Formats: sequence, C-alpha cells, structure tokens
Amino acid sequence: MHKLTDHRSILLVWYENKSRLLFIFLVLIISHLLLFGDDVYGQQVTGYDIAKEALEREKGFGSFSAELQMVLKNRHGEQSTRRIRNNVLETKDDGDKTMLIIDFPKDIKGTILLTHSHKNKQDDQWLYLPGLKRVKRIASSNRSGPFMGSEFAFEDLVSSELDKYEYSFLRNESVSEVEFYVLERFPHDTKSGYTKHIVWYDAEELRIQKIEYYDRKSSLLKTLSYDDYRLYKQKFWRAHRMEMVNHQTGKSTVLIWQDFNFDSGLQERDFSVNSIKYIR
Amino acid sequence: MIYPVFSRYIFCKAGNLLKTLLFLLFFIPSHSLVSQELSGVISSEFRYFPANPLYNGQPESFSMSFSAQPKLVFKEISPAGSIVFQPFVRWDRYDSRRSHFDVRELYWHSRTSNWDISIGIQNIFWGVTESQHLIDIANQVDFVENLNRESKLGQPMIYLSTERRWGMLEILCMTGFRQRTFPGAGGRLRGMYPVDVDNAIFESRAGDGHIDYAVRYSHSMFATDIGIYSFYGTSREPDFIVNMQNDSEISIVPYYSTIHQTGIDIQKWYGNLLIKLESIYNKNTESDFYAVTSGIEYPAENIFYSGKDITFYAEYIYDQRGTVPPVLFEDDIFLGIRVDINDRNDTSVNSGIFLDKKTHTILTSIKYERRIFNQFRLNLEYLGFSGVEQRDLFYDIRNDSYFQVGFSHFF
Repeated sequence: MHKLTDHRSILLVWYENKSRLLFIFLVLIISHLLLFGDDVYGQQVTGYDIAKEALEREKGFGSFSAELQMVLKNRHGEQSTRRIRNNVLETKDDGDKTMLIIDFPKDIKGTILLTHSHKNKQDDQWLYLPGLKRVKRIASSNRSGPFMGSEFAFEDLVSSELDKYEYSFLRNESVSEVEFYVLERFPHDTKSGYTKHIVWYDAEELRIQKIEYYDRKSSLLKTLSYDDYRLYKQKFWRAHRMEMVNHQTGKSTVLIWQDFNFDSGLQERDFSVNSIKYIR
Repeated sequence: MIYPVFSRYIFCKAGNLLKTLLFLLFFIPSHSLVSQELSGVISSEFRYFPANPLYNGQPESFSMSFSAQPKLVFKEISPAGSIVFQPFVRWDRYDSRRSHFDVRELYWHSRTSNWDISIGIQNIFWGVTESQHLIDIANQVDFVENLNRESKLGQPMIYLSTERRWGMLEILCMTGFRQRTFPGAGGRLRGMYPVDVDNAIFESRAGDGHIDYAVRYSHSMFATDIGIYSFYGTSREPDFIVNMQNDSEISIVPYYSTIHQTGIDIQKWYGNLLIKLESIYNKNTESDFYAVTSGIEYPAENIFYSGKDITFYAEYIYDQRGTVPPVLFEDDIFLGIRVDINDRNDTSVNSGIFLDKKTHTILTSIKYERRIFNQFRLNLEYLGFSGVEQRDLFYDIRNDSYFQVGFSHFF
C-alpha cells in the first residue's frame, strides 16, 4: 500500500476506490450478521443439526431387546393384536441389525424377519418360514407397504439413518410451556411411500414427539405420536406407546413396548442368518 | 388306524434313536428346565375329486383327513442348550398309508464359541427356487402329505454348523434312512399299482442303516448368495422295480441306490429382482445325470400404493433323465404369481402353473389362505391336471384333480 502511493497511476485511483467500496461492503455485511446472523445461520443449518444431534444421542446402546404389542383398530373399533419380540444390535460403521420374532397370532408364530441395514447399499433382509424351516432372502428395496396389516409401513419402524433424508427447519413451537423444534424431512428413497415428514422434537431432550406423514400426493396421510418416554441407562430414552392414525382410512395402530433390556448381551452372532434357525 | 402305523415306526431302525432321545428327555431333571413352551396346530382337510377314480379301492369323490402337529420347546436347559420336540400325526379316512406318524423334530441344540451343534431328528432346508427344491437332500419327502413335496420326514442326524467371515460351513452325519411315503391302495393321487414300501430294496448292504454324509459351504458377497455341497449316501429319490408274482400280481418296489451328489445354488439380486439357480450332479452305479432349476422372482410391492404386494415367479426345470425313468418334471416351465393383500388376516392367493414342454401336460394350482379370528386359518385349494399324455408320470393320476377346503386351529 505504502509503495503504491509513491507511484500515482490510474490503477491506484481505481484501487483506492475499490478498497473504500470494499470497506463499506464489509461494514454492511458485519452489521447485517450482527443484527440478523442467528436467524440466517439457524434456518439453513439447524434442521440437519437437530436431526443429527438427536440421532447422536441415541448412539452407544450396543444392543437391546424388547417386547412389542401391536393393536390394530379399524374404523368400527374392531381390534386385533400381534405380539413381537424385537432384538437390535448397533454396529460400528454400518446400519443396525434388527430381528423381529413373531409370537402372536399363532398361525404365524415363529416367523422371523432379520434385517442388516446398510448406510451405502441395499439392506440385507431374510424371512424365516417356520413351516418349511426355510430362510428366504427378501430382495426388497421398497418398504412402503403395511407391516403385518398395520398402519405402520416397514420404513416407519426401522431406524432412521441421517443421510436417508433432506432436512429443513420449520419453526419453534411452544405448547403448554414445552418447547418444540419442528422440522421437515424429505426421504431420498424414490420408492418411499411419502413425499415428506414433519417431525416434532422436544427442545429439552431432542426426543421425537410426533411425526406427520405426507403421501405421494403431498396430502396428510398419517400421524404418529410418541408417549410414555422412559430413560434407560441414564442415557437412552424409549417411548413405550406409539400411536399411528391413518387420516384417510380412519384406521389406527398402537404399539405398546415393554421389557426393554439393555443388558441382554446380544452379539453379532445372534443376528447371523444361521442363528435364525435356533431362535426359540 | 393310527396305532399300527405308530408301532411300525417305533420298531424300525430310525425309531431306535427316537426311543433313546425320548428316554433322555424324561431323564432331564425337571428343575433344570428353565422354561418350556407348547404350541402347535390341528388341521382338517376335505377334498373333492370331480372325476371318477381309475382304480379299485379309491374313494369316489370325497375324502377327508385330520392331522396334528404339536411343538414342545424346552428353552434353556442346564448345562446348556435347548430341546425341540415336534411330532406329527395324520389320519386319513380312506388311505391307510396316508394315515401316518412321524417325528418331524426331536433334537438338542447347543453352541460353542464358534459352532452350533444339534443332535437328533431334524429338518434341514437348502435351496432358493420356488417350483421345486432340487438340491434339498437332507430330509426325505413325506410324499403322502402333498404333491408339492414340501412336507418332509424327520431325519436323525448330527448337524454341525459355523458361520465365519469366510462363509458358512455345515457338516451332516445322517443315520436311520427314512423311506419316501407313498399313497396306499385306498388313496387317490397314486399310480396304477400302489408302491410296496414294506419291501424296499437298497443298493447298500447296510440297507437303511447306511450312514450318509453331507458337507455344504455357502457364502454371500457382491450381491450374490452361493452354496455348494457334496452328499454321499442313500438317494432320497427311489427308482422302481416292477415285480411280477404268480400270474397277474404286480407289485412296485422302491429301489434306493447309493449316490454321490454335488449340488449348487446361486442367488443374485438387482434391486427387487432375484435370479436363482439350483443344480445337481448325481453320480451312481447305473447312469450319472444332472438336473437344473433356474429362474427369477420379482416382487412388485405396495402396488399403486394400495398396500398389496404381487410377486411374480418364472422358472425352468430340466432333468437329464427325461421320461425314462420318469421324473415329475423333466423339461417344464413354471409360472407363478402370489398376491399378498397385507390385511389384518394375512390373506394371500398363491397360484402356479407347470407347462411340460415335451408332453404338454399342464398342472395348475391355486391356493387362497386367510386367518379367521385369531387362532384359525382357512385355505381353499385347487390342483388340476390337463392334457396328460400316456408317457407322462402324471398319467396315472390324470383323474385326480381336486378342490380342497382346509381348516386349521393354532394353539
């Protein structure tokens, strides 16, 4: 700068003008950031961040087992029940391994669904048919159909990997002095049954409290509400009641979870294809 | 009716192992059984045959049958492992051979740090295709149960398996050969002469006491499942010897040869599409042969977001033996379709058609199934044969197309 002032030229005039402009421009940007910075930053990043942080807090459980009762209700109030045992194993670098063992109704007792979910490729899935004693590979990339005749699709039940959605922050909401973050998330999977979900997290613990599912025509299809959260191992929150209401058919399904066991000692081997045959 | 069948079973050689195991079962101290669980099914089955029977002794148009299959599981016994006991019994109104008793499973399972060990009567399934289960060899077919050959007799064995990074290894040591069951004189769906199962002939001098071995290796990588096995022992599939006694008395005697069979199964997937292959190479003292079943499976799931799944199957079956000696399927195309309504009753419709390229026989099957209340299941079934030529194995049962109503109670 100093050197340049010694050699007056058109270039220098231009430069001085430019630096002045640059200075004004910088002042404007900084003052803008100081005044409105939080909001600009928040709206663009927090959607993803909230989802990421919420998932981060779920990590580290190792494995757990639980029992699940599924109550299907139709418009006329008729009910039918399914009972399922659920075993889950967390893996280091990949998706979770999940085993669903059906205990009721009795005609499908012993049917087992084993899923090895993957982050970067198609999940592996096997179905055990106890009648034939056959383990059959299921090559389904699509899980939008109803799970066991319920209002839950398989994609609603499996653990939601972070990168399977696009996120955007909608708003803060406060209902009876409880703060919520409300996000939209858009599934990347073109075979998903939904165009978007709207998800409510409580601000305090980042637990999902409600999800609205929008169908392929972008109209509201289902609402899932989470209730009766209980804390395990001082770290892991689990909802013990989940209710899915289908607004278009009037049907609903309630999931009642019980007997969560985070000390089940389940290992990799308990989720192998061979192990299915010896599940009792 | 049932008792004589039962006693015949108990005193055969396979029964000895059963007796030993039952004996052991009663000697497990009751306090060491952590938990036990009883479940099972009782079924009734009514068949209507529209066409007249071809042979003497067969029922006119209706037949009925009842069966029971309880399952008792001892979950955690000391020192380690579990015990499964699953007997099966069927009573048939007309067919004394179809009235039979079998132990589908009675075994003890335990595991070491790397191996799964199970000893006793077991049922092991291998294979990937739907039209038939070509490579599946460990267990004998309980042929009187169903023409689709999916019911299998319990096989006494020692079964070892291990699953490692390099794949899965299974080792089977089987004893107490189980003969294939065949309908008796009073049954439909039989040949002109009932198979004389009491006088079966074995190639092995050990008879049905031959010890059979099988080793199978399987692995999964690059979106492909692959398995290969080697089996040495008594063939599960008999040949038949025609005996002329006196002047006119003809009997058909099953002949079980000793074989060395190699089997492979490959399954590859691209998205929803599954491509499957099963093949066997059978080495025996008569004439070696090979056979292949190959095809595709494509599930169209949640069709038009209706919640219904439709799965399509197409397979081709080839058997080098052809029509001499006759086999059920030797050059056939199988087309299948399965519809799952995915409702609260798990309603499904499953239908298939076999087209014989050489003899032009068409075998059609359609099955409807649903749950009723919480514990019952209803099934309606049709099995039909049409255009059966004389050289086809189905010729003797060409009049035995049937409609079936089945009702099962699960407990």
